Amino acid sequence: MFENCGERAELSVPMLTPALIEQIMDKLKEQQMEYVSTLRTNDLIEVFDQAIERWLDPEYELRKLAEQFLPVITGYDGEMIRLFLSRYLRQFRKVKLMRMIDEDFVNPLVLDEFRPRKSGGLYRAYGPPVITHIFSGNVPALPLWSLSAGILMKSASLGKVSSSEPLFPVLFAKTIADIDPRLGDALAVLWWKGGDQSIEEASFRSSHAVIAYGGKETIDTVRRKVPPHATFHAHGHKVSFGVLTKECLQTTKGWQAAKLAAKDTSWFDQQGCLSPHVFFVERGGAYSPRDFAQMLANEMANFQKKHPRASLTEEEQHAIVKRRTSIEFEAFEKSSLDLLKSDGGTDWTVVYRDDMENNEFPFSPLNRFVTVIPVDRVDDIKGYLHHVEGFVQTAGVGCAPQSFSSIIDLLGELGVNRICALGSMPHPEPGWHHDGRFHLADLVRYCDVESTLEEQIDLFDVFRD
Amino acid sequence: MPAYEALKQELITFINQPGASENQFNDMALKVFQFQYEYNKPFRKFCRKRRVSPRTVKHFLDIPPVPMDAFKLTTLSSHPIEETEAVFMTSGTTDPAKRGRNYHRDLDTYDMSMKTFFKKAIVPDVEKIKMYVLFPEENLMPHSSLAHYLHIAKETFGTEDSLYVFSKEEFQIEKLIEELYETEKKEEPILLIGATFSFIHLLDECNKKDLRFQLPSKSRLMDTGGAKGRSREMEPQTFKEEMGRLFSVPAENCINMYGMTELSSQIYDGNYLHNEHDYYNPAKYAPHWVRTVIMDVESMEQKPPGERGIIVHYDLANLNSVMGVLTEDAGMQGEQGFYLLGRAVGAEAKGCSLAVEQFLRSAGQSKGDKT
Repeated sequence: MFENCGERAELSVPMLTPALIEQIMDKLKEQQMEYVSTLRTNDLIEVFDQAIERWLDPEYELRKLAEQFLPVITGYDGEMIRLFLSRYLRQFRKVKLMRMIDEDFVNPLVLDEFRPRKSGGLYRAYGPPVITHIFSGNVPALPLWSLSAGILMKSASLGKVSSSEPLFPVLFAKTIADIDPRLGDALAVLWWKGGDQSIEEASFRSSHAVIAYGGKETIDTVRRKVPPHATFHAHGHKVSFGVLTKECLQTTKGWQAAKLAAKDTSWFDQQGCLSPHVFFVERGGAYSPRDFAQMLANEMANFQKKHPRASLTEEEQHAIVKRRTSIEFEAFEKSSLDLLKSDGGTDWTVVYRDDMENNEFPFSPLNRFVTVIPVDRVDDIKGYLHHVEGFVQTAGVGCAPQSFSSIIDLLGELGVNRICALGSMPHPEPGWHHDGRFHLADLVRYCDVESTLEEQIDLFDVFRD
Repeated sequence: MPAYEALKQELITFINQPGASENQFNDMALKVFQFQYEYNKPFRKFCRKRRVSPRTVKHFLDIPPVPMDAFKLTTLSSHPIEETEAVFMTSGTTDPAKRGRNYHRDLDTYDMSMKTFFKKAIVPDVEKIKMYVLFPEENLMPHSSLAHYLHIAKETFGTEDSLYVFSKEEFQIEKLIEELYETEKKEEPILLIGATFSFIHLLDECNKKDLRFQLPSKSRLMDTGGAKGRSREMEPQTFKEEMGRLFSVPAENCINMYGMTELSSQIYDGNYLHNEHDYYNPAKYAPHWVRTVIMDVESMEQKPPGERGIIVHYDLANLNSVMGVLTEDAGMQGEQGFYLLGRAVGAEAKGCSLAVEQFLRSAGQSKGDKT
């Protein structure tokens, strides 16, 4: 049962037992073996593309359903969800899917048949026959990344939806089933209470790969349950940030940069791993970093008018109130600290901080709460990132061509997985190396046929002269 | 500071006026606000940020309540701290920087407030009562407001033979059990008073040994502070059921006191104060110099009765610091009085990146400090 903005949604989920899961897994395995594995990758791309085409039609029944109920379920602004869905779904069109595959496989045909290797012999790639996906629910439709991976790799998939967004994966699986019922039979999307020992054991036992999104706790508990025969692909929690060089703060560009930064921060209320916690801003531009914080605050207010933030739980509200309080009272004593915030609510908060102790990384309590830190040179961000080593995801960058090379070199070395333009942080491109790994290639197993055999067969050729 | 002395006298008169009207409360509140605005510098800054000043405030609800954390982060005092007689600190951590501090110029209003309402809430029917105090003595914990409170309670309302069953930090359970057996033989009622976690320790110990007591009629107990991680957690209702069974005391005589270091007054279950019938889950009542309001933390507007919100207290007796305190407790306004619904903290945002912070924090926390 979900309730937001005065509307209610009630979803029913089947009660699962380990026995039922075993049946489902058997069915998935059978369907994969008898049907999905016989398809060619292009056939699968075709089906997926058709599904996306349907979803891009605003009149498509399931899309309308999603647009109606996702705001109720997640609390996110309806218009933001609508815009996001269109933009996001376009990432899975035919060409993009092809690109996703080409990104990971030098010769995509290895997914369909044995192909010659340049060094001799042949090779072929096999996706895992059955995958269990543990989806997260912080951003709607996000499960499409791993669902598409499963389908492109000719796997059968059992998806476990999150209780905070259980709708989209179900609807999308239904579209696939409508287009190709036999492929649909290789997809099961279910819900159970995360951590349910017997159900997860039953499902993992029959899986060849487990893909999990979630917090450290979720990841750790899932990891412990994955049996040795299955591979485990974890996407744990990550943080992101933005960097702006002084060129972005020239008189004509400053507002533009602030607007893009506000968008990165506000989109999906900062819930994604791709959302920035902090912007590091270089001194020396026409606008100072402190001016930038003020401009960012104005743009945050504008975004709030256009796409109001979700209503928060008491705990989330309190997290913001507490953080604001401590900054406010600290600011009374210090001129190096500013608190800029929405009036009459917790809608958005911008903190300007020139005195971060021990160069701590200023974690945000999320829900549109961001810090601006001035730096003399971009190199100075090293000190701040030291604390979050291994947990950095995306860096949104605003810079001029002159500093482009040095910045990407710096960020790459600091462990950043993805560098993108300011304003594009929430929208990774297809084929991106999520968490620095191969999206598809990590899932497959290769079979090599060595040249020794290829050459030796002639020896035993019955028609040999 | 003559302004302070005059105001204090006026306040003490007000505390002694049980029939004070809503208007009188408001007038008194505005005077206290004016004083605090003038002399409490961080509070004045806090008000100015919100464009609030004595000129704009007409009703006490216009005064912005200060979040509890501010007591940790800054010095909320209307006098230089060298001139304050007492500072009470919150418990839970040894790091002084993380402890909330409430500075008292003197303890006149605190003690006055304490005695006046304690009388009504705990001992309206008797002059003095034999007390067993389940908490360390004041000299062992000079910065504990509870230790001071219990000291005043015992001095004012306890019989000569009242006693502490704590030596230094240690709870003398065996001694208390012996005392309770002695008590059973007499007809004189007693008051067991102290920290909730001590009561729970006593209960567990007695359960282990299968002990029960038949305390004389009119005996009662008052607990405060919750388990605070020092004993197992218990729901207030279960607590009262179990205590009633252990001591053979009716639930009516089991009263919880809700207080905090950041205030100078206490709030009690309304068992003796009002016609509360649900003794296992009674509404809580503040004295007439305190207003407890339930607010929406987002909009800071008052919530209608029956709706959950955050608890804000306006305590006039908090003369030297700030009268309006935004707590971290959730509550609900009842027909009269209010209900405490637990803590509102422990923010677990649904976002994925927040957990990184928690993880790094816990990894960096070698001593397992609790805040």
